[in-house]
Amino acid sequence: MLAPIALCLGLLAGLAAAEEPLPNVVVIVHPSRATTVSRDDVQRIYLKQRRFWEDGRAILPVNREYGSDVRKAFEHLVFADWKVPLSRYWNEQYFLGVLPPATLASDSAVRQYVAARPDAIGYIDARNLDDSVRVVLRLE
Amino acid sequence: MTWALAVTLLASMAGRATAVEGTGPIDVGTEPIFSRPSPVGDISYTPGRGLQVGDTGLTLGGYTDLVATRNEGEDAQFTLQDLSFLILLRLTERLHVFSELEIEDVLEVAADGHVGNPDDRFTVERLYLDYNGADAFSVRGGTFLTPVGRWNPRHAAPLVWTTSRPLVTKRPFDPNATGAMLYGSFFPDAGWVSYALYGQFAGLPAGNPPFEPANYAAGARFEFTPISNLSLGASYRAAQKFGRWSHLGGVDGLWQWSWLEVQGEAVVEEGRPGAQQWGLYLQAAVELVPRLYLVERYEYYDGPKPGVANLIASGLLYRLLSNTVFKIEYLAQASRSPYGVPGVKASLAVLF
Repeated sequence: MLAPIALCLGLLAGLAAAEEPLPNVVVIVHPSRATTVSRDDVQRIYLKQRRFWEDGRAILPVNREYGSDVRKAFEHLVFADWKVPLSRYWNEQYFLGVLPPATLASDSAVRQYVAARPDAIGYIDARNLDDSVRVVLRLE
Repeated sequence: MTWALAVTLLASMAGRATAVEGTGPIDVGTEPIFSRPSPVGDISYTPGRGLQVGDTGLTLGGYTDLVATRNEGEDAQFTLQDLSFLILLRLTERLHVFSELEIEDVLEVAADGHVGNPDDRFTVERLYLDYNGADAFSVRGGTFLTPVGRWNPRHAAPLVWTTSRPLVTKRPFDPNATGAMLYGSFFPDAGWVSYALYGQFAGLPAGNPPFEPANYAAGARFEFTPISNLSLGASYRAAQKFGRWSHLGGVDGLWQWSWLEVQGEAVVEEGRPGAQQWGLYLQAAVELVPRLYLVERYEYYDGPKPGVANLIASGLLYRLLSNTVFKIEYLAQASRSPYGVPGVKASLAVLF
């Protein structure tokens, strides 16, 4: 009698814990910024190791909020070779006077931020892309 | 039915394992825990990332370190060893002021309950103006941490693996310098190369600890990070003190894997009579279970005093939160030495 109930509970627990597939992510810039970036470039920019565009203007990177699916996907794809938690890197940078990129709470906020600033770079779920921004890298 | 039950439970456990895979310390440095609107914009506080004062560009933070020490042959004591305040003011995208103001040995409690603050010192660890002209070209003017090795420029208690500090990371050179620095980064196909060229030509700000700084010093540091988990560094410093020049050279490295981190530095100084010294340390940290690390370090130091140090530090580090670590270690002398006192140290360090 108890076995079928346990079976159902176990299945439900397993299903609840199963990971949903992460979204495809596009890295976006202002339409006027004619540049190409590689995955390594994006990593350096989001670590604030690289801080300037080729034309000498300061890069304004913007993150999605921690815990969002698109941020999980971005970090999974861009920092796949990272062996320690990024929090340790940022602890060290904080001590050196460098703060992590600002965060915005939705893809539309990121898109609007990037569309309004020629020096910004951001990333969003590919399904939320429109013509207001230019894609410089697809992360899949 | 039993096998079905077992498979189901295993599936459930596998799902859970996936959900917690890569779980590190609870990350508190991601979102503000406090945010209030103000006339200058939202004032928000994020643990381990400081208090951001609206749109002023001002960030206030710091770290603290509560240490318990029981040296062999001595009574135990508790010390609020560091209370450091970090102040960052971004004037523009390219120009910012940064300062670290530190009060050392703020409060000491002896085993008999006596409370005092006998050695409290106010120190201007860093106070500088940075101009970021380009990735490869930035200029710093003021008081900064001497870029020798890996430990000194990143010495904050919440960032390092042990409460005690290897001798070679503090004895052969002044920990900070006042002057100017040119620094930047280059980007080869993968990773990055960082450099710093600096000159010390001014005295330290009033209130610094009474170590005798060099009259003049000049140096260079290069750090190569070819891949995300490997970093190699080299440092050189020439310093004039009491009218004589000395030359210091050093190499260092860091290799990280998910459950293992190995770090080491070696420094040699020659030139000024009475200042010849050399030493090294090699340290490994192994993750035993999530957040708990076993730390082992060997260090050798041959300094100006007769005799050498052969020290072994063995300890544990537990990351309670991403900005909070608890450390305990035993420092042993492999041979009698004028350097390093054997005993137990424990500390709780918080980046705030």
